[in-house]
Amino acid sequence: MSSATESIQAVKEWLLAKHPELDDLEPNLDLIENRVIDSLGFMDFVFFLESLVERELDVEAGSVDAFRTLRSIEEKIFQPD
Amino acid sequence: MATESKAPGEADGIYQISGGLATFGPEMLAIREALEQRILAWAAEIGARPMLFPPLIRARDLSRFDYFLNFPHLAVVASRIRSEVLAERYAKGGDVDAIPPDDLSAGRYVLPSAACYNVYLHLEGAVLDAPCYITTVATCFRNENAYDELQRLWSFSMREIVCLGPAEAVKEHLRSFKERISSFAAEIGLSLGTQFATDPFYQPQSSTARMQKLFPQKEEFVYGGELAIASLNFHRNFFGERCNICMTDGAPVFSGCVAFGLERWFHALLDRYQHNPERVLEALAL
Repeated sequence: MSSATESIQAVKEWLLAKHPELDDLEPNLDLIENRVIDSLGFMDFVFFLESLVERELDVEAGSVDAFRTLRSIEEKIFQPD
Repeated sequence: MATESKAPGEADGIYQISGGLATFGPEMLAIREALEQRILAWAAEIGARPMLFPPLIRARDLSRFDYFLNFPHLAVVASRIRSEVLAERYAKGGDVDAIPPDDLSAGRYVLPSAACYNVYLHLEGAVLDAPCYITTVATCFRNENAYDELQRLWSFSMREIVCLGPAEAVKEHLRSFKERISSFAAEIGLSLGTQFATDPFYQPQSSTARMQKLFPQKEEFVYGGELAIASLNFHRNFFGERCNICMTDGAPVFSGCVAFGLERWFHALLDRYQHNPERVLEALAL
């Protein structure tokens, strides 16, 4: 399995490919609030993350703040322990 | 005349409702005016521009907001009778109970189901150097499976106060109105709860609906545990992007609106004050 750093780079590339208007994504940018991940793409994003971590992710109210920033994705999804 | 099945206000003759359509007399208009005065005073405090928009919205404009993806069931569509059938089928006289779909032109316009869509369309392409506040009221329409007195009408009035600007300004707008509405409710003796909610999506399991549940964008003031009479809505930068409304740095604006369902306020106030319009007016005048 790829390291957390490689995984987060893959996430960044996946998001930037969908947003050609963006040059870069800051680790602490709120991806939800700024609609880098929008309503239509959210579940695709979850599926993409699941393919990287090779497990099902908890997508329930109360646990979703993990999806908000690249930093929280790295810390809470790619390095959950 | 049987009045047992009617709501008290209707039985008292201060309003009539049929098929989700309400008719109001002078007592209810006085309540509406008093309520509107309070809301408009808040709008004036923040420098909101009062505006009135056309009562029809182009279907293609709503489509840009994913309206038909998310809310196709709500849309009340405006059309016209095709000119080819006017003389033969209509202008000769006779009763008309319904216009068959084959006689109608394509419905290119929709009656609004919320007041604020027109605000974003009006500001299309604007560049803002400071937060912008607009208030408007609209007669709104929503197809529903069932109608329920003043609580759920086919046609109703929605007053909104919209903020467009940086995210923090919009959040502050919503925070300040949460306080205003809470204080106002306490002042007039109305017991309201608050709850996070989602919009009435056609497909409650859609990605959009699911995301709204996970990341709440809508908080409601609820009377009697279930009737939402006002809501605070945070749209993030959705309308800013779709209508190309930007701040001077080029970033799409964020937006949020405070919405008041006026007839639902009537219901709550009448229910609270024993269906006595004079007592409602006394409470609103305090």
